[in-house]
Amino acid sequence: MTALSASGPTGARDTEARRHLPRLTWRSLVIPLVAFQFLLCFAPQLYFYRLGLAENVSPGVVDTSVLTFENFREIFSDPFYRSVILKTLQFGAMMVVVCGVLGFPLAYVISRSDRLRAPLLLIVLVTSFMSVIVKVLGWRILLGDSGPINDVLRFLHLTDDPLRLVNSMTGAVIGTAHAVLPFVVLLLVPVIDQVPRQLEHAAAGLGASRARALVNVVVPECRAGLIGGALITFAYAMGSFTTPSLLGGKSTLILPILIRQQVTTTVDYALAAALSLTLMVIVLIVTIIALRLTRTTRVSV
Amino acid sequence: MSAAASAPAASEERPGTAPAAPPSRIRRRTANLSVADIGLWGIAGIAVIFLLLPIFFALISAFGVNRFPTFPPDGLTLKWFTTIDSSYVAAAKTSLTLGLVTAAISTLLGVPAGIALARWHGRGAAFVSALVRSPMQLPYIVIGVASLQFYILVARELDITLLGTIGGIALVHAVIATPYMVGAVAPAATGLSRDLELAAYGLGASRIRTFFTVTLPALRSAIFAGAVFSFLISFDDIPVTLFLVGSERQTLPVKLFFGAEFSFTPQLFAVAATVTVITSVVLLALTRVLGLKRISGV
Repeated sequence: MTALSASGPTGARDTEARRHLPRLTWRSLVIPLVAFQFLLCFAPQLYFYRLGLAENVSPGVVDTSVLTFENFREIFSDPFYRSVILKTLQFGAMMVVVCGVLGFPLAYVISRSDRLRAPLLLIVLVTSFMSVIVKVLGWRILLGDSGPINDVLRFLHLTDDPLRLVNSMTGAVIGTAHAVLPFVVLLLVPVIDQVPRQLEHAAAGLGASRARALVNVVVPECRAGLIGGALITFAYAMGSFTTPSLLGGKSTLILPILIRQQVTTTVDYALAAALSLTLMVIVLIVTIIALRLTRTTRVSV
Repeated sequence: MSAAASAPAASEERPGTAPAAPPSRIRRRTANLSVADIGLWGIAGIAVIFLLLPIFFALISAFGVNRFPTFPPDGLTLKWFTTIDSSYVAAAKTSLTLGLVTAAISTLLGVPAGIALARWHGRGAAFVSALVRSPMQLPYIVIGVASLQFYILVARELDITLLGTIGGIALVHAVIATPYMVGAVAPAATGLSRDLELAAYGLGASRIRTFFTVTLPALRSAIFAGAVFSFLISFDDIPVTLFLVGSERQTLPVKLFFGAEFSFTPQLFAVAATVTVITSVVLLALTRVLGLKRISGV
């Protein structure tokens, strides 16, 4: 019946035109990219992880004919590697806290202020595209032992000896958080945009304080976005070694820095591969936990 | 980078159409400014200062006379800019070439894939979509080291040199750039009305002609945004490129990184300041042309 009613003079032409639409060919347009990613991303990844199950014979030479878990046994039994893994997790957690504490309020103001939205977005956007090197150079000046921040702290008599900000975990977290913050904000703004302002007015109308309205209404509504932002921050932290190695010094030996050392200094590709796989598994586990958190039912007010 | 992924989400809306709250509401909100609001706006202010302060200090320090940049500098000078080593200019050219080649590969592969994913709703569509976007989730350093090992293998087994070549590096840059191109094109293609294409078919245009004269032009600003992001991802990258460049041909960020690892010289600040000013001007020009909304995605 519906087919009959649709086959008017215009309807007939329409369905005929639709029949000409290459339904199958649209799907095939994705094939080149999938093939490309398999060849240049997934295959190299698999090959690389296979090296992690092989034996390093001499610097730069990996014997792939053997299959051994020796590298992983070493990583998980040696307290040195365990401390590196713990430090990596600590670094990721600190990054998430710093980016969350600074990112949510900034995204909220951008979302709710009609006057400041455009200029603040422009600032966030421009800083997101700036080279990490210029950011690191700025932080080197700011955080140095005789830099402006230590000068201010000394002037306020908050500290007598300069705080060790550069070449410490603090410096690494500050610098890396600075690099990710714009992306977190750009992710959170549309999330907060979708929370109707009326919800906050309704909460206020029902007698809730502003703080209560924010914590009990806005934050739960943004839950998925906040977890997404935390995941981006964590994944970024797990993959970055440029900023941590330039600002963190020797005291920030996290997995990415250790992997680079294994590749360029020790030239133990097998161990580098095993450490990379460990890093990947950490990211995967944290992602799965976070996605589970997203799916659980919202906390009721 | 997430900007690229979410960029076209709002693509169908013209910039500046954000609904303004009625004036009465604004008045009420400012009248009842609570401790929570003050805290929120205060932290937001700190976040903005946090974002801008190091950049400001890096730029100022490039003009300081001190051999070891400090703040405040003992005087201002332009001499570090005039003594920029010619190897930096060569590195900048390499980076520029790499960025353009990456943008080209990313466009060729990412645009068709983005359109395909927008129009394919059958079984497997969600999986393939997640698959082509997955390189985004991989730690960049792992991509870099894995590619290095893979290229060594390719050189050994097939006798093809990819390590240290523009093509070899650009291919890996395209691996990390294509997810953003797909992220830019797919939502725009989803929002695209099929009526125009149907009209073209109705008027007798072939599929291929319709694709090139109707579909692609309708998506041009999303494609352009995706290409710009691809270029910038390549142009800025350190963790992947570091492992793939040879000693004689370095990219600008990798050269700056090695320089910074060695020592923080004023020349380094001068080069970084120059790059920062150029990218900022280009980006500001782009937001003028394309609109803040498309570039930022919000």
